[in-house]
Amino acid sequence: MTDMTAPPRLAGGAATKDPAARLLAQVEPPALDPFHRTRLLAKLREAAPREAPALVRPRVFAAGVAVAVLAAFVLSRPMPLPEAPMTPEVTVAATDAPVPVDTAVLRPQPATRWSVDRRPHATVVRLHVGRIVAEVRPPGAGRAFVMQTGQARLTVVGTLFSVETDGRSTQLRVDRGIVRVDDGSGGRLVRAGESWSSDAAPAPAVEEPARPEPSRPTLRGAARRATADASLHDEADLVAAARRDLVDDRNPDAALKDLDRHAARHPAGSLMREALLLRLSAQLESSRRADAVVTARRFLELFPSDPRAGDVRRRLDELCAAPGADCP
Amino acid sequence: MWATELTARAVESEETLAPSWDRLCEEHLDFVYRAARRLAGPDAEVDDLVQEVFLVAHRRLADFEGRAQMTTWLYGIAVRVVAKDRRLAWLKALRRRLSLDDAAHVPAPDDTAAATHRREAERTVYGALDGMSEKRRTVLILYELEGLSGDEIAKTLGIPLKTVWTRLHYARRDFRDRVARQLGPGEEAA
Repeated sequence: MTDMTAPPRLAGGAATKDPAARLLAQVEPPALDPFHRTRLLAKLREAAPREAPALVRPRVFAAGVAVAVLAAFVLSRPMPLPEAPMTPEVTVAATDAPVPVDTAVLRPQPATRWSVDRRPHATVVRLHVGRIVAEVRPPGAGRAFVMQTGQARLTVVGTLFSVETDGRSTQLRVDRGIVRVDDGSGGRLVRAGESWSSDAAPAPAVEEPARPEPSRPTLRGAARRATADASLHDEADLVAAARRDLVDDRNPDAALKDLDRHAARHPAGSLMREALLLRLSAQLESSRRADAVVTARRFLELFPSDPRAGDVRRRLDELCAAPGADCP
Repeated sequence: MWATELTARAVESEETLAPSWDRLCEEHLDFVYRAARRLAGPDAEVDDLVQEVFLVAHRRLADFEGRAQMTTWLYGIAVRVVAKDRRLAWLKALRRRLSLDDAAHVPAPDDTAAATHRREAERTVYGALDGMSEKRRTVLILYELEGLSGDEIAKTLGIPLKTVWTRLHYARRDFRDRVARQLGPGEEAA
């Protein structure tokens, strides 16, 4: 598509006799004067769609704290056992007919007992007993789609997978995309073609009998929250160090070392997308083009709907278009 | 530099895994203001339109996949927000007539004769534009006043390039007729 057929603009002719063109030529581009700009920005800040955390500390630390709060809320609540009473209504599937749930289509097998809990930042599907095949589209920025059994919490990136539980163990099979599994002993990623079973995992604390009052804070919940907080702070520290190395010190090699440490300690960390972007930037800065291609592809595979995916995709295209590029 | 900028944006957005509202507004305020003001005209409540554009943009940021430029995407939102606002313009006019709104828009004091002349010209232009259909009006503003190319307008409005030229052709004819009617035979010849 080209603009070869574009007609000349009416206001382009200086000495035109066309009164409409003369009028158009007199209309000046509207400009925002500094005073009005300041006032308007203040108004927009007041209209912010949600509360932002106070930026008392550096932003990266604030990011870590905010993610920690979110993670503590979503990830660290005591896991109810299948027999425990559920606040959301439990559904017993009669057929395997597909059921849309937000960005997912679920196919619970007959006699499967499951429920849906919609929270401010996540949709949590609780599988009590039975089997569900789920196809999930990315739920969008700031939201998560989580499937939970008595043994594990499965955070979905955007994928096709099936989960089965008899109340004592959980089996997961991923057919497409990636699912993050948290069984109380740390997170891991299960990729397309892979399976995971809670039987093969170390005996998780969540298999202990449920407390009669699940809404009250428990020692186990507090311990897990503390672990999650420490883990997120560690992640935030490593990502912040990498950023300092790359942006402030212009030292991509040091940044890559920080990111390697981050990847080793937090293979399925909450700040993975930021770590990947930093890694990509550092690789580009240090002309590691082949590595950058791998990182860019990994980012797009994991976070296809991220607002920065377009930037990454364009950069990947440029890398692959360069002479001698190794882009199978 | 792309890498540094992207990195900065990456870390900036960690707190919610979504770009920050302040940053979105700060970076694109001038552009959105200009677009909204152009599309809506001198008598519109542009500040409210700008706020609505940012609210929509922030809500739909996850849908922005980078296939188009950010400005093109924001233009598309501004076009829809202004069109919706104009559909409700009669209600606002009625409220103003019933004195439910205070006089928010006090005309700027005349500084020079040239400025006055330009304001008059702008009012005549928008007077003619306001009677036109929304589709023609939008294309004419984007092409003649904003200086967008045909391709950019096509992407902004999600229509084929040929449709852009067709709408522009009829929009110009319509606009000329309306200007001629506003100016009258004497002024038109001047």
